[in-house]
Amino acid sequence: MLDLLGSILIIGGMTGLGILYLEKERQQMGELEQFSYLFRLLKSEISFKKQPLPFACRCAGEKIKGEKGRILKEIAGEMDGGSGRSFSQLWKEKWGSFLQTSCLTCEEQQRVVDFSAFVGYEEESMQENMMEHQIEEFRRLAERKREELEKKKRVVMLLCSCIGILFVLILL
Amino acid sequence: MKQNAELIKYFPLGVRGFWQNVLKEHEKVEEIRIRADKPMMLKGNGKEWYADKQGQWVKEIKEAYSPGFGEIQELVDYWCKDSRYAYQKELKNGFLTISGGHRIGICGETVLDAEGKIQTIKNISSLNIRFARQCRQAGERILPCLYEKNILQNTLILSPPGAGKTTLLRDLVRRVSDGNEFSEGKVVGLVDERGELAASYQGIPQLDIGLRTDVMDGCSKEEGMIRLLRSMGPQVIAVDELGSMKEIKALFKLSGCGCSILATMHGRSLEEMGRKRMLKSLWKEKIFTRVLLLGREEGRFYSRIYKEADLPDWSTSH
Repeated sequence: MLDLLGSILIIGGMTGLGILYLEKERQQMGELEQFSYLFRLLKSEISFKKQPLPFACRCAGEKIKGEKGRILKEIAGEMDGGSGRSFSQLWKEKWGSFLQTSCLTCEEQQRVVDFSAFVGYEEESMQENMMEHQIEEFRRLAERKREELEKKKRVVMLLCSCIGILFVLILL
Repeated sequence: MKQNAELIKYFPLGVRGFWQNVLKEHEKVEEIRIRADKPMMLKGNGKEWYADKQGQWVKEIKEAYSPGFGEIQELVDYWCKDSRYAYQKELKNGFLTISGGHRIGICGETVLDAEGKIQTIKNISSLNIRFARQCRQAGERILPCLYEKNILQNTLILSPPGAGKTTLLRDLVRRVSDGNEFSEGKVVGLVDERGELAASYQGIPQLDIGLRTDVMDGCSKEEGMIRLLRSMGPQVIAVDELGSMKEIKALFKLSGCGCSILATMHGRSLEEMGRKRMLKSLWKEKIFTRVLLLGREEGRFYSRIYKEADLPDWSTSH
C-alpha cells in the first residue's frame, strides 16, 4: 500500500514539475502579449492624437492595469514635472528594475529596454513605422512562444510522467 | 529665487548647474542666443553679454563658452519631450512655445515638400530663448489713454522685437477683462497663435489674462478672430503680431461687428508703418483710433501714444 502511495506521489510530483514549467512559459507568452498591447496603445495615442510621449504614456497607463500602467504613469509624471531627465533615461531605469523580476528572457528584456531608441523621430510617419516595427516584433515573439508551448506541452508532460515512472521503477 | 527654480525646470538635468548660473539674475535676462560652435550670447538690460563655461555672465568674448551642435539637439529634444513628431507644426513655423509661455526661436536646415513649402526644420543650429513674464504694471499708465467716453478704442501697439508689446498686450487684456476704473469687465476673445500671451498648457492658460477672457490657442490669427466672433460673443478681440494680408482682412470684418480691437504689430516708427502698402487700407478706413509706439533707447523703454487726430493721413501716400 505504501509502495503504491509513494509511486503516485513521485509520478504526481514529476507531472506537477512539468505543469510548473509550462505555466512559466505561458506567463512569458502573456508578458510578451501585454508588451505588444502596451506598444499598440502608445502608437494609437501618437498616431491619432498626435500627442507627445508623456501624454501617450499617461493615457496608455490609465488603460493598463497593474505595475506596467503604474510605470507608464510614473514616466509621464516625471517628464511633465520637469525632472530634467529624458524619455530614454526614464524608460531604461523604470523598466530595467521592473524586468529584473519578470519571466522574460534576457533578449526579450533588452528589447523592451531598447524601445527608447525607437522614439524621437521628427517625422510622424517615421515614428509610427518604428512603433509598428516594435509592436510586430513583440507580436511575433508571443506567437513563436505560443507555437513552442503547443509543441512542448505534450512532450513535457509525457517526459515528466516517464521520469516519474522511471524513478518509481528504480526505487522498487 | 523661486522663479529661477521654475525656469531651471526647462533645462535637462545634466546642464542645470550651468543654467543655474546663467539664470541667476533671471530678471535681467531678456534673450539668450545659442548658435552651434559660436559663443553663447545673453541680452540683459539692453546690453550684450557672453556666458562662460560655468554659465557666469562675462564681457570678454575670449572667455565665452561655445555650445556644440549636440548640446542644441539635447535642449530641443528636452523641450519637445523627446517627441519632435508632435511638434512638427511648431518646428515648421520656426519656434517652440514651452509650458509657461516661454518662446524658443529655432533655425536650421529646412526640409521642403513637393511644392517647395517648409515641411520641418532639421539639424537645428540656432536657438533664441525668450522668457515670458507677467508684468502686472505694464498697462497701468497706458490704459487711461485707450478709453474715450468709457469705450475702449481700437488700439494698435507698434514696436520692434523685444520692446515689450506682448507683455503690454497681456496686461491690457487682463485689465480690460477684469474691469477697471473706466469700464466694467468685458468679454475678451484672445487669439494666441503662438501660445505666448496666455501661455496655455494643454488648453489651460498659465498666465493671468483676466476673468472674462476666452483663448483660441494655436490656431491662425485670421481664423481665430472669426471663430471667436462667431462662437464666443466677445466685446473685445485681442491679437498679437499682425503681419499678413489675411489677418488685416479679418480685422476689417471685426471692425464692423461692434468689437473693440487690441492688436500688436512689428514696427519701428509711424513713418515705417505709413510706407507699408499692406496697411494702407487700415489707415484709410481708420480702423485704429489709437496707435501706441513702444521702443527702447539706451536700454530704457519708452512709449508714445497717438490718438486719431494725431495720426498722419497715409491713405494716399506711397
